[in-house]
Amino acid sequence: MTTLIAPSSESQVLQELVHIAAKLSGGESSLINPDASITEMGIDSLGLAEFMFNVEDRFGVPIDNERLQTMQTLTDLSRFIYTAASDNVAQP
Amino acid sequence: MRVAVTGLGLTSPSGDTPAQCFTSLCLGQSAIGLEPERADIGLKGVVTARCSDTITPPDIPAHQLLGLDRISVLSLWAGTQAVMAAEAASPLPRERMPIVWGCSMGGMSTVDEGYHDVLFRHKKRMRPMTVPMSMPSAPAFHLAHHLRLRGPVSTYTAACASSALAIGQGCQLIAAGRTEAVLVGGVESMLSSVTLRAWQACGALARADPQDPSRSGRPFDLARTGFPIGEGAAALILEHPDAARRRGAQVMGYVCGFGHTTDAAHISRPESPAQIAAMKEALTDARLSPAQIGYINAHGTATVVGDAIEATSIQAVFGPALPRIPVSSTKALHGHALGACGALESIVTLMALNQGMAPPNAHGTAPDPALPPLWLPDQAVDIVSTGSVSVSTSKVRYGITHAFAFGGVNAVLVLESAPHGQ
Repeated sequence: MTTLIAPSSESQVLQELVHIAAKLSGGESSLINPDASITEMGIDSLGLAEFMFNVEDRFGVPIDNERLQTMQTLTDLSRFIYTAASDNVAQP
Repeated sequence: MRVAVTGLGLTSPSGDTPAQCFTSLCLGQSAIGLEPERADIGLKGVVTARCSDTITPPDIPAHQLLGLDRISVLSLWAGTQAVMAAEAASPLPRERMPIVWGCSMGGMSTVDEGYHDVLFRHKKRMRPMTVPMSMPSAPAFHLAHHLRLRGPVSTYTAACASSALAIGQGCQLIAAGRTEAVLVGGVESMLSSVTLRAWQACGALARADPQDPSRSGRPFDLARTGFPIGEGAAALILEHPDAARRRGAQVMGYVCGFGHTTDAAHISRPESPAQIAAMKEALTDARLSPAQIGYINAHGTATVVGDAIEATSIQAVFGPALPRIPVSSTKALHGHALGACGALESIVTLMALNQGMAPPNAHGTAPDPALPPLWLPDQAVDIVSTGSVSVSTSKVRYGITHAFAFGGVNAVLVLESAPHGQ
């Protein structure tokens, strides 16, 4: 089982999101624009669901579909995850 | 019906090519081992046979492998190997080639992981790829996609007869003129913890030998207790003999008879009459008498009831010829590959005929006096010099392999060695 390690910064979260997206899509991390629309990462709807499963698994932050629709980019997502993960640490 | 075999491929606990596997079997090397104990789910004393954990089919990008259950990984390894072997001389007609594959239960490792995620790890989300990865038809899709085979694709799920039926169906497609070439075979991999518990619960698995777990599989023996559960994938390219000749393909043997019957009696207890009917149907299809068979590759799961019934069926069909025909179940060494066993053991039978050597029926302690007497060689036996067969050449040409499945499905294939000089 994955051991959760709290992210130290929002930029670390973003870096890991880009890495997960690259791993699942088979592309280079450097080619993924964190400010482009998540739906334009070049993965289909099932791939996007797989991406969210991996993200939840890594950070331990549940992200329902309603919440996901409020976030346009990986940068938006990283901000949400960093805040939620920090809240989790603050509330043992 | 006589269909040429022009490509072989496999991965098994005994080796990752037909030659590796067959050599290991003839040396009597067991790939069986004791599964680590899992006290949390009550898993103890189970013997398994695993393929290499690091097997990776060629030319599959890493991100695509993430979306494949082991059944698809093993299938791609075997299928690619068979296609490459068949295309050594010239290309196959891939644009219209069908696939007939066998897989009995699908990607149970992926299903097990999903249950663990939800029930034990309390994840909010189940892995979205769980269904596409675990469906029994996934391996055939991935074979079609990766190998660009664009004919009809189908998957048989008939327990331990799945891939033997796939071979039979592939032959029938060629005999009916529907195709000149077809990729057939099958796969199984379900060595995950909860699924092993399910197999243990139905009482079919071998009890681990306390002295030497690798010897726990004992087909037709007095001390038999069931089968070591295995995994694997095996693939054959079948072609119309004329098409194979036109392509200049090397013929590795023939499938020349197929029998398929159903007990229609009990979900797990086999019955002799329908087994006998399937064996006779396959021999009739091949236009052979029982005395022309030089090697019997038995289903031989080493269950108390299953072996007794199969031995009775063998005696009924082969009668007076039986003392001269070696019988072995190679499951004692590579484990029971379930949906893949029909294809895996068809390849073993072809190799036996081509190399003139029957692999042993390993790990015997004492014959079971309740069974009809069978010649169960405890070491590999030379089937060229035994002179067991009344054919004009000194070489044994024909062998038979059985796949008798839960659900009372009986599939029997008769195989013929490669032409002389190949």
